[in-house]
Amino acid sequence: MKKFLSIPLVTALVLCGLNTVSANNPSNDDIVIITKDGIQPARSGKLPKNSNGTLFLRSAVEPAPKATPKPSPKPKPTPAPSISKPTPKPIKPAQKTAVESKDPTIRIQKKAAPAPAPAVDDLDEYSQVANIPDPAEPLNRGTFWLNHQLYNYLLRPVSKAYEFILPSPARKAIHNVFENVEYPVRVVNHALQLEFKRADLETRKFVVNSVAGVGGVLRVSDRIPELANIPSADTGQTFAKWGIGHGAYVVLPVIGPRSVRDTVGMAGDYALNPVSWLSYGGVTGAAALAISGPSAARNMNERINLYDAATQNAIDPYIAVRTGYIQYREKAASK
Amino acid sequence: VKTRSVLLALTLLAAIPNAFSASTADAEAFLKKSVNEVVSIAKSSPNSTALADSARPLLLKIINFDAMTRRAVGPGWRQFTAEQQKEAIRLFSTLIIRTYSGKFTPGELPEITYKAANSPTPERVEVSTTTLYKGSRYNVIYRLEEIDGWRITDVVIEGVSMVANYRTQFDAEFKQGGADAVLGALKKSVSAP
Repeated sequence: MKKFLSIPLVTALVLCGLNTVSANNPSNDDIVIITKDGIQPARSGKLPKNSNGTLFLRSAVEPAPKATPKPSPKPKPTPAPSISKPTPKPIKPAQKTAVESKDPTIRIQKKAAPAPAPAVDDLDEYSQVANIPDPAEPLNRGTFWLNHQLYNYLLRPVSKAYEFILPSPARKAIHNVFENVEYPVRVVNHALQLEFKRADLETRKFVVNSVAGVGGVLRVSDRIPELANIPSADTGQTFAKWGIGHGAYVVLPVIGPRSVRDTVGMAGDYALNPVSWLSYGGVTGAAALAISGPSAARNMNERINLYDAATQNAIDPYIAVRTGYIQYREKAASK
Repeated sequence: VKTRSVLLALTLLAAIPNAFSASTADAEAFLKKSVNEVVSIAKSSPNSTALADSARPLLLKIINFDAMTRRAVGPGWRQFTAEQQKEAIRLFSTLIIRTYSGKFTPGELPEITYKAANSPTPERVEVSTTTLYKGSRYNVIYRLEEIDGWRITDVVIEGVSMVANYRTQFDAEFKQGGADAVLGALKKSVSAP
């Protein structure tokens, strides 16, 4: 292809040269035509019959291989490297232009010795792991402090009381029931992420736990290997899979760390969660609260444990939670 | 000549995965042995403080705290004096050991399932595990590197890398007051109850 592209260029060059040709009266051997078999001398200085080719001056055509569409600025003669010497030196920029030439052996050399990648600073390996813009940091720190007080002086005692009142099996049963009921959040988001296999598994898990697990009290699905470990799905994660970035970092009162994207996602989760449908479905406020209360308590318990894990032994608990949250969400989105 | 070099290339290519899998297997074996040793110490520990004390010598052997501290601090590490570096490593290792033993509840032992290991570079191996602890399943990735034998250089729990988590915190300290600020913050955290 390149060869054909170079023909018009060569033609243009030669046309300029033809003026001098007529002036210098070249011998017949110096006039050539280009055929598919290569350069042929135009015998008698004329074109063969039925030919629509062009006459060229030999001197203009012979160095044609060098006249590539993009003539390299320094077309150094590049001796083909002998293969018995397989230790090529790193290619210097000046030699790189030569690599662009047509010699295939040189291309191999280029692959064998890639330009050394800029040395990654061993110390800086983790610089890009968990970056999120935090334009409202002072405000977020304020909310973080308030949440800290709330967790320590209100939620922790409530959570402890919940643990004290209810024995572990009962807590587990409540946890299982609510998790089972939240099935629509997971199945809809699996589908929106085009993870139909997971949506199918999730449905089977729901059926198994609802029927064999007595309304989700027992998580029978744990005993079925393929149902035991289905990756979770929520709306924020769906947004992530659609390529929507986190946006800024925010700390919400009571709820805690979120990104803007995941805050919006929370609305989706709320809309998909049957527990939140109760108050719209003719159930009185008190009854809805009685039902959603244990759900909140079991989440609280989990959240306090998570919060403790993130902040204990931290240098700056605010940053520790922020970095931890972002990494955790990145992982969830990559599943 | 061409055929010979092609053959040579093929042989080399064939040999590379073997070299990788050999080192991967070494790293995995080292990790399994180390984790088992830690678990057996945990079995006989009455509480997390006792665990931190009794597991410390072993953890210092299996974890490369030098690399961990260095990377958690970042490029600012070069501005630490040798003394400061030593001190930072000592404090950071204490903090990490406490963090991990703090997650332990006596009588509850983790059930670890080892999954695929991969080797991003010849001297690095990542071993992915599923750890069942107190009824919850966690994805835990151990990063190992060959530095005087295989050593753990990072632990990633549910996507959260321990080194990365401290890196962001130390960065903020370093920007404010350099090595002294980092050491001050470390001392404060270590002495906190």
